[in-house]
Amino acid sequence: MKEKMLRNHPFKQINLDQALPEGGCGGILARAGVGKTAMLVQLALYSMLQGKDVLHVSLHDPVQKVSLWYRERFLALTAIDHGNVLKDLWEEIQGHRFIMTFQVGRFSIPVFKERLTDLTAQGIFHPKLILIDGYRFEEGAREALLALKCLSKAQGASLWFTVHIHRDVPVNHQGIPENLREILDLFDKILMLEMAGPDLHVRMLGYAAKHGIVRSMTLDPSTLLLTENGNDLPTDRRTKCDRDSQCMGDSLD
Amino acid sequence: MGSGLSKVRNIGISAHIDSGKTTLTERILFYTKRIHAIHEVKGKDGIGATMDSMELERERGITIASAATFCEWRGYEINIIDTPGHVDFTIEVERSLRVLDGAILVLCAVGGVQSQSVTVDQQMKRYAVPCIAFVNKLDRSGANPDRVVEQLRSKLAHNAVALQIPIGLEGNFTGVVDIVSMKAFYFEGPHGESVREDVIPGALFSDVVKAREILIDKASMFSDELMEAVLEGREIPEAMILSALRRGTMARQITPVFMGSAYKNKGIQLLLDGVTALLPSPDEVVGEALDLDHDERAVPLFCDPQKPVVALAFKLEEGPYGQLTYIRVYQGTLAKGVTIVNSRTGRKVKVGRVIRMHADQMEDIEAIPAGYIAALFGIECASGDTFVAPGLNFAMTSIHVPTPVISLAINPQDSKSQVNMGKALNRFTKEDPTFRAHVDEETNETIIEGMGELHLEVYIERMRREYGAEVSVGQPRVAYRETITRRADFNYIHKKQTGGAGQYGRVAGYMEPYEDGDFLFIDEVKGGAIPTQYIAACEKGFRSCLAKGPKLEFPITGIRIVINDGSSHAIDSSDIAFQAASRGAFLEGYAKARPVIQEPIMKVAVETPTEFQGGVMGLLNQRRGMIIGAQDEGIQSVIEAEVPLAEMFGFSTVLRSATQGKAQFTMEFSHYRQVPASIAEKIAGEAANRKRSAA
Repeated sequence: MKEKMLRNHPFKQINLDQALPEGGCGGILARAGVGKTAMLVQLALYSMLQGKDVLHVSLHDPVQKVSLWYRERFLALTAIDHGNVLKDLWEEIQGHRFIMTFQVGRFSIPVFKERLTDLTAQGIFHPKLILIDGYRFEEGAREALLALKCLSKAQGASLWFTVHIHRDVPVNHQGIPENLREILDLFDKILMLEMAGPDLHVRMLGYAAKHGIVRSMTLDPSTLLLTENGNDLPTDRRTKCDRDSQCMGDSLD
Repeated sequence: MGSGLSKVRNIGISAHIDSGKTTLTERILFYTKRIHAIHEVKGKDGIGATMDSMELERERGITIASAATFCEWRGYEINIIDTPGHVDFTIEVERSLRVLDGAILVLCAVGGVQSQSVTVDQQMKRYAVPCIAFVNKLDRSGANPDRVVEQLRSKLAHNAVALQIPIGLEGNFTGVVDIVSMKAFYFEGPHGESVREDVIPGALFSDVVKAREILIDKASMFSDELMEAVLEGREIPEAMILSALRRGTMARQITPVFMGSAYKNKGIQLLLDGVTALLPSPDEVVGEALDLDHDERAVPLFCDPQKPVVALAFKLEEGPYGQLTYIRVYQGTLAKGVTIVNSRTGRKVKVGRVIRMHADQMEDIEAIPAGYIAALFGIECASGDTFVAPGLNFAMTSIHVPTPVISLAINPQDSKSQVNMGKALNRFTKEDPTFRAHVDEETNETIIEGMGELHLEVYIERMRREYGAEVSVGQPRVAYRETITRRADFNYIHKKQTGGAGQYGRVAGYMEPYEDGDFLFIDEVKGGAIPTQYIAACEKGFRSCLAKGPKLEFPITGIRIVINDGSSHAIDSSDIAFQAASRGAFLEGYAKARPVIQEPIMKVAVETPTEFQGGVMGLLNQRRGMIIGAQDEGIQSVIEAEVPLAEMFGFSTVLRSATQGKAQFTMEFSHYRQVPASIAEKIAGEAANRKRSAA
């Protein structure tokens, strides 16, 4: 069942299955309530199905709530009750996830490093993918992000962040908040989630767009599962990159 | 019992261990003049808090059995049940919540929402009990009521709103500002019994105004009148805010938060005002029963003393004068001398003495009207039984009872202890459905079962103190189970036709894993292949195999059995023949269905200073624990894990030494999971040894 799920996983069809390099960094950008955490959890589940250890750091939800996210997304992903097989698979992959939560004000690189060392030094958990949900990219974010990339590289892991876009913050022509300009170059992949009427669209920017990989996709809003599709954004909302299929330029400028 | 139901409150006080519930109750009884002296829970005066009437409770500083009492506050009658916070005594909390109309959720201002707070909150949700919160221990170092209110929102998803702001904190805590009335309150006198109103301290005024805006904003969702007043910018009277809050609280859509320090005698009187203003009276709570004469259709109950009586027995206690049955009357009046019927057994009983309880002291009364809680003497029943007027056949919804997960063999030291042990077990098992006892047929040992080590320890200690029964204790045993993991067919003939009366039956079908319960039997036999009159015998035969698995003799669960074919003999088929055929079919199918052993997995939450987090995770890891996550909460962390119960024995000692005694943990049953192959072999070996030594 696991192999079947990996074979048919939507991520494969839109090249999100390619892992980031060690120390690499990805971002999921969207306004509140659009589906950043759900997307992050989908990424985690995909890695967990491959047997990779995932450390999920949440700065706004308690452990139980995060755990519930995973349960719900897993059930949506499987969609069919396979009875014992499903239950066994769920129990198997749970061992590949560790949830760490901090209050927003209490999260810092030194504290995080200490907690991470607690895990690795005891041989309890060695994450290959570190997710950080709820980090605020404010002043000084560049140094912090560099430090986190270093830390994750030392662990042999890659990083994904959720990035909240506030409606009042000005954005560039690609919809990326201006206040993130200084750190964009540190991201290897960026997924922009946007509501377009009843549909939820995902645009891939940065590395993926540079290399002409599928640039947009639609999410099922009820399950938040990716469905494979082409450039189905209305023309007036497509970026320069989307309109030009040979775009290899600096898509993050 | 005559102030009118609108002025009655039946409430429970629930929380995590050491949040201060018992101290709070003690203070409530003092301020309502029910008692005239205050004694601390672990008091130097050797007396202990009034509600902890058992010696063991006083000694350990924990509350074990729930105790009921009533008091009066400003014309209101308040019935309080004090309940234990430790997860091993969850059944007591469950019972109380089933019969109460409202609850106070006590939270420690330092610890905040802790693991057992979550369990208690879930129990309150299960029985739809409205609650208000009390943030206690504001006098302690590290007290942070804002954080606790935020945790109520984030961890328990409550729409929590503070009704007060503290005046000072920790050592400087002197009083509270009530945001509704916009006044400051100070608690003076040797025991805080004099409440002085004053103006709000200037330094706090802007905080109070902000908090009031938030409060009114939230409360206005429950009152059009309040909403209009806000929109029109009119002055908002206190009564309008309280009325809106009451509506929201009763609908469980909002949780008002009070604060104070029971130990320092601050804030309790205002909390009592909150209870009367915000929690429902018995006639505001919808009661329902099941009509057993009409397919268990739900029927409403009316909190009307004139209607036919319907009452629920929710606690039994064996005392020096006989069995005391705590009872809540939902409809009608339960008076001395009337005849009532136990709807479970159908037996009629005549009501003897009717008692109103105050911890361990009793007061005789004439009757219990609808909406009240009291106790009866001399009624034989089980906890959870419904009593009704003759002519009614109703049952209240059964109280949810968790299955025991741990057992222990106990051996009396001498013959006197043997007799007394029997009496003790008889009493304890009647009082507490999660505590069970039986004699193991093979080893002849007495086995007790419960919800955790502490649960069993307490009963063993009570046996010794209350009955003089000295017992030695064996190794704790885990309640393993067996189940199957794949579908398997069976087709079994039971035949004994060697002359004379014979037996014949053939049963065919399949068995497969079943997630939604312990056992499901489905009859898909067509064309009378098995005569209809023998189908029940087939089911009986299959069921009889569930008690003990063929190899390891653990109970079997999670099986669906479908019979779809068979055959019978005109003369030799009988119930007995088909029972035997079904047993044979079960064994045949079971062997092919890849049976496995399952063990109970416990949800463990360890609260520890952050400096010990790594060590604690290591300890859990060593015990085959799967760590779900770690919650950093400043100086403390909470590590959540799922650990097999078999690995948890002695954990408290190990944890204590690894953390200098600063960590504590709670544990409750989560689910059953298949044991790893190596452990399965070990269990099989132990089972075989036990069989050999029994033989």
